[in-house]
Amino acid sequence: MPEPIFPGTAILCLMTAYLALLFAIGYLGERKFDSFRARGWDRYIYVLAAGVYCTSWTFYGCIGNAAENGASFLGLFIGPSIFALGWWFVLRKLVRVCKAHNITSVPDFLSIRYGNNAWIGPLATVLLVVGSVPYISLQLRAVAVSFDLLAGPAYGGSAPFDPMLLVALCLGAFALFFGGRYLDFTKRQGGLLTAVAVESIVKIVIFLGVGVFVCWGVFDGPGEIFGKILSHPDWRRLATLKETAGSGPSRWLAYIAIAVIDVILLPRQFHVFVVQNGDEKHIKTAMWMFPLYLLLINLFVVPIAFAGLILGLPPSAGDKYILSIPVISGHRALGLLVFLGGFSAATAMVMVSSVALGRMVANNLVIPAILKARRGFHAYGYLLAAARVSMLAIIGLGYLYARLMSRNMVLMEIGIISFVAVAQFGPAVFGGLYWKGASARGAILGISGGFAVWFYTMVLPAMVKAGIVGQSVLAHGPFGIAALRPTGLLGIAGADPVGNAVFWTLFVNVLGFVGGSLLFAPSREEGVQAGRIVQAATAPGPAIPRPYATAGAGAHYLSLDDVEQVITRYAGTEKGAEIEEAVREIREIKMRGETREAVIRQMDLPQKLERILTGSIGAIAARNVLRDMLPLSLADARTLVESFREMEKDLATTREEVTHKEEEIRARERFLASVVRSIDDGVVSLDFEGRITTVNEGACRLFRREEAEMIGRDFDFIVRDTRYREKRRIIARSTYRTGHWRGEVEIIRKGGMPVPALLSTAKIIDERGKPIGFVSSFKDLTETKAMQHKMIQTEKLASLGQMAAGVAHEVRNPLGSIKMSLRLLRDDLRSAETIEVVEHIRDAVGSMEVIVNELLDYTRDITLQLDEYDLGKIARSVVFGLEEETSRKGVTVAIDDSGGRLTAMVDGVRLKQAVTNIVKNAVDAALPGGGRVAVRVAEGGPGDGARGETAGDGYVRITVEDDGPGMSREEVDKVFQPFYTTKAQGVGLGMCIVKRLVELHGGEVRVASEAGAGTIVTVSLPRFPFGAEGGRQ
Amino acid sequence: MSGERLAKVFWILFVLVLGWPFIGVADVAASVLGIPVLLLYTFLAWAALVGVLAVVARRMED
Repeated sequence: MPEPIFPGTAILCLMTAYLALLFAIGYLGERKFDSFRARGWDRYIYVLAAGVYCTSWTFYGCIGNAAENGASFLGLFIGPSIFALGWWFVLRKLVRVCKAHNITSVPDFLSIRYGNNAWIGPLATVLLVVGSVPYISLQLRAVAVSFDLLAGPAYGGSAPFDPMLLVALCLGAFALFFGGRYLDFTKRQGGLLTAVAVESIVKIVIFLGVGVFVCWGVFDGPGEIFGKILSHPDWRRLATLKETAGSGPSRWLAYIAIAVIDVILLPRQFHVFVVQNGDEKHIKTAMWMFPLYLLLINLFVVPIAFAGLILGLPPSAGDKYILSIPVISGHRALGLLVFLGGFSAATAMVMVSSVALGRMVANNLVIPAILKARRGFHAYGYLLAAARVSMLAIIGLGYLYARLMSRNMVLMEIGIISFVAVAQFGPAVFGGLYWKGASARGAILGISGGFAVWFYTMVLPAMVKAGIVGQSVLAHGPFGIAALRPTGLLGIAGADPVGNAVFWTLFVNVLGFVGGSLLFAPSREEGVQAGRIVQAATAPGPAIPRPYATAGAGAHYLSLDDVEQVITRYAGTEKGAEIEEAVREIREIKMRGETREAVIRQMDLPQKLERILTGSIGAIAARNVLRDMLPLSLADARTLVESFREMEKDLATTREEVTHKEEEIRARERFLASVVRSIDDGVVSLDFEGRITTVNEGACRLFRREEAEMIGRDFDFIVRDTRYREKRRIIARSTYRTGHWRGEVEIIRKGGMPVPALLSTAKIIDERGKPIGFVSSFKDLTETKAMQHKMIQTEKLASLGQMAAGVAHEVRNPLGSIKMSLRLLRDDLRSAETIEVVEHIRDAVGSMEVIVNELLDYTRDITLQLDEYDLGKIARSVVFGLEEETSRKGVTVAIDDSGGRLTAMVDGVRLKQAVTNIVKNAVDAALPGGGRVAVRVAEGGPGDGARGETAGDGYVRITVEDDGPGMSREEVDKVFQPFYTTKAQGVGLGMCIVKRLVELHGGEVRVASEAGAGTIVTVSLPRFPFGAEGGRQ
Repeated sequence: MSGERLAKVFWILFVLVLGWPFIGVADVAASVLGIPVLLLYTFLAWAALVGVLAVVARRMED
């Protein structure tokens, strides 16, 4: 080696200055972290702080490994990069669980996850310390080695004291200042994070700078370096994985496997990635930025290693290549810069690890031991001191190990030993995060088994190499059993010792974990906690309450002041807001006295207090403190049991009542539904937008639509009335304000037929009085409208009839006078022409008399005078009376009375009048000049007629048939209407009077006619009508 | 495709690409553009992985 490049004192000053700068950066970071967060820089600080994964072991050890084994070391960085794809699920879940419980370390997590098992936390702490202290010593040793390289050996050399001691002391102070000022470990350590982030930047910049220098400053680019390596017969193998000893697929996969676990579970990584995570979203940045950092920092590792070989440096001194190459190239300043880069990498790791490990030891070993030894002892200051001493002790252990144990080991070996050790917690942690069935005993079995194999396959060979243990166990196996050789157990993992160790440690670990969990099922407490943690995957929620193990009987609650005092003494003023809330809760419980509610809330209180304390003194210590402080007395337990029994009884009663009420409600709903279904009117309910929500069967009938056709449609779909549409808003407003509206509308049936309906609409309100819709009922007004029309017509006719009767009555007397006067006048007249005129006038007056008589007959009351009459005789007298008219018109009238004497109780005069009207109409209708009218009298009743109907008892029938033009259907329907006539003369009351007279007799008159087929009028009369005095109308 | 689905797909892909036996395809003592095939393959795949991680991270739902 060349002469010392720099005086040792100068380098020590540089180191001191750098550490001072680190202090300043840390202090600035602590003061300004909130403003960093406001600018969004905290996510980058978070990711860069995680760059503490790359320590001096990356700086020196990886280059040394590359010089001997090629690129297999890259598995340690590629593994985390691939696993980063799952960080959003796995890491985020771990962060959430830890935040919920104020978990600050892996042992804390294991302790809480596995049901507060008293052994797992301390066991994990001891093993993590055993696994991590060598790694801390590696950092200190790297500083010493690089110091020696630049300044010569520290002892007996130019340095006034050991640089490792200087670093250890300074870093101890740093850890105390930035990580040990508070008992609450969940507080954001902005100073520590900022300092470590800056160091990550320093080391990557220097590493990349040296890489560029070596590739392009010393050589003509990476091509020259690789070309020489590939052309050298001994070095060519370094360009592959399988050809290098200690390399190949076994080691590649082993590195990936352990790195995937360690990137999260190494104490420094857990502290940065999980405990110091301030925002879950930062994980998204870490997912790509952290692998990018790893890629960049490893970019020149292999070229630098190969360059060292090419320059003739010994392969065994590969750890020092990065420092040696600048020095032997004459670039001393760059060499100093490299030293600073390695120093930066080392100090970052030591700072974070000592804080994390120190707190772990304090929370899981020291504080529980103190509290157990001095039961009831509570002093915030002493507990904080215990934490600080633990941090210093970790650094002290690392220093001692660096001085005493690691001189004969290369850095890479020490790093790998630590890596594999920490990887033993992977199954218990990740398995516990996702598998409910994982039990504490399974976890302990797995971790213990894994560590036992780790010791055998990794530590023992290292001890052999260090000369502590003899060579025979490595060469021949224990007791000469070659299959049990530590570096090749059963020969399964091939020749690679690291691959062998990783395979067997994880195999035994997983076997123990799974097998132990299946054999020893989780306890009830574990099961409850496991369920909650495994399901804590969706949203961040409140703290998951832990089942709290109770102490023995006899103790009572401390007073309110005592509890507050104890909490404050343990948590200090760091958790002011949370303590205030807890105190408020205690106060409320006390106010409620011995009530059931108070006892139940009392059961929740320990969980809340435990959460506050866990962040400060760890899970185990917190649990112990509270067990001493808040036991559940026998009396309280009895009260609680009684309370639960009463609640159970109340619940059962309530359940019965609820079931009964539900049945009542359902029955009422069914009844109401039946009522609505049965209503003939249409009932439609609407929502607030006027859309139909329900319809009853009446509505379906009314609208001639299926229910499905109407549901969801707008109200306008079934209501067409323009007037309604215009007033719709008014109706809606009126209904909303007054609660109802009523009026006529026109609805639309299927097919488009409009139907008048009465709409009545009302507002529907719920039990709170809030309007939730409308209900409308529709009543079909078709029949009502028809009846109204008929009544109006009848009234009109009645009025008209009365008027006509009045007129007829007034006119009748003058007509009589006119007729009398005309007779007297005729007797005196001689002129034939004049006599003819007078006869015409007499005929006209006669016609008018007929009309007047008809009007009077239509309007006056008629009383029948019933007697037995021969109907045939009546018919013959009618025909005889019309003989002159029928002769004049050339109409033949034939009578058929069946040869028998058919009698009936009738009013002869009125019946003759009716038959006369019918026959006259038939004669008038018959074909002129040859028409025929047939009058038949026979037995027969209602329903009997000329068109093929059957005979009935007690009735007689008079049928008048003509061969005239007949009538249309419309004319037939109107034939009995008053004042309806198709003749030129007459007032149209004849058939109306016929109908009236026949109905007075209790009979029936029917008209059967078809256009072009003549007309048949049938009068059916009972032979003995009701009452002795006849009908009266 | 959602971020979760992408993560699963690419996780399998890169385990195969950067794990064994696929990386064995590039494990030869030869060079491309003056760089050993294994190193070139590894770093290119690694760079692609970083790119994929950036895309996947952006698509992850909060």
